Amino acid sequence: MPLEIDIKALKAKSEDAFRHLVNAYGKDIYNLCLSIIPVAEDAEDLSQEAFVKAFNSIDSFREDAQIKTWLFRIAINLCYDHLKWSKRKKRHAILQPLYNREDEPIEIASNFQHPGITLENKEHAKVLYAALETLPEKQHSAFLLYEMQGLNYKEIAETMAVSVSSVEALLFRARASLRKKLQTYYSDYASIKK
Amino acid sequence: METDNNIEKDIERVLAAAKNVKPVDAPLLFTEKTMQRIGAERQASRVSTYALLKVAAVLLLIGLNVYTISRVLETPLQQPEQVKVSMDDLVKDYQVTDVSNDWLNNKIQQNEQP
Repeated sequence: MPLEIDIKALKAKSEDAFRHLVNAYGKDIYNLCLSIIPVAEDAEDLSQEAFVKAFNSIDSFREDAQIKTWLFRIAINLCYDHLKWSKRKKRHAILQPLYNREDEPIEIASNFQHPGITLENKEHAKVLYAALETLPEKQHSAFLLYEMQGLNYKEIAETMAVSVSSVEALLFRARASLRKKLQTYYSDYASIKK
Repeated sequence: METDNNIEKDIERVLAAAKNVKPVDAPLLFTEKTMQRIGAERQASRVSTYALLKVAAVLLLIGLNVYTISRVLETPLQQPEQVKVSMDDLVKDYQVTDVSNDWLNNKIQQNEQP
């Protein structure tokens, strides 16, 4: 059920309207950012940045779309920009490709601190997040919007500006790719243990 | 075989981890901090509008000056009209009754005689 958001007031840049928007979707945007970047401080900063960006570009919002999916798109783009920036910084990566390679190995992040993950789930979640990072952006977004954020195909299609059938295909490819990567990861892990 | 089964179980657990991520509340004072950032952005956009206006005013002044200078340089200087004064005009102006210059010749002759 979409929340009542006064788009006209938002377009007039009313402070009250933006406060209402942040109250209504702050949690969703923060959780979305956490699902891409599982570091609480970075996710908080990026989700706040998403609202600032929404404030600056509210005039470009088409009223036929849902404000929630529009905000999601802004937040996703900001998170991917942040990921690319941190990867480049980490690897001195002028020579590295700017997008994920299909054969990129899984690297477990050392600064993983997702507050929504229980201790017993933490090790598997770490591997999942690391595997997700190696997926191409669109597959990654489709997977986390469906599996972690619980959006339906139509909402994902609207957020990603693609068709519903593309979402289905992206999800299928994401799951297949994840399985393959995890298979390689655990096989290597088993052979090291032997 | 057993290893394969274990790997398959691990993969299933990892994929299931996606569903087990619990949504968390936004951090404390999230709304306040966000509104502060929005307020700062609003202030910055106001300042930049003022700065833009100043730049626009300066550019307008420079443009006007350039236009004026170019107009001045393009326009040819107007030559003052050459005034042709005839002897009759002089006569009129100085109200001389005799137009001939005989009186002047006579004067010269008188001076030349010893």
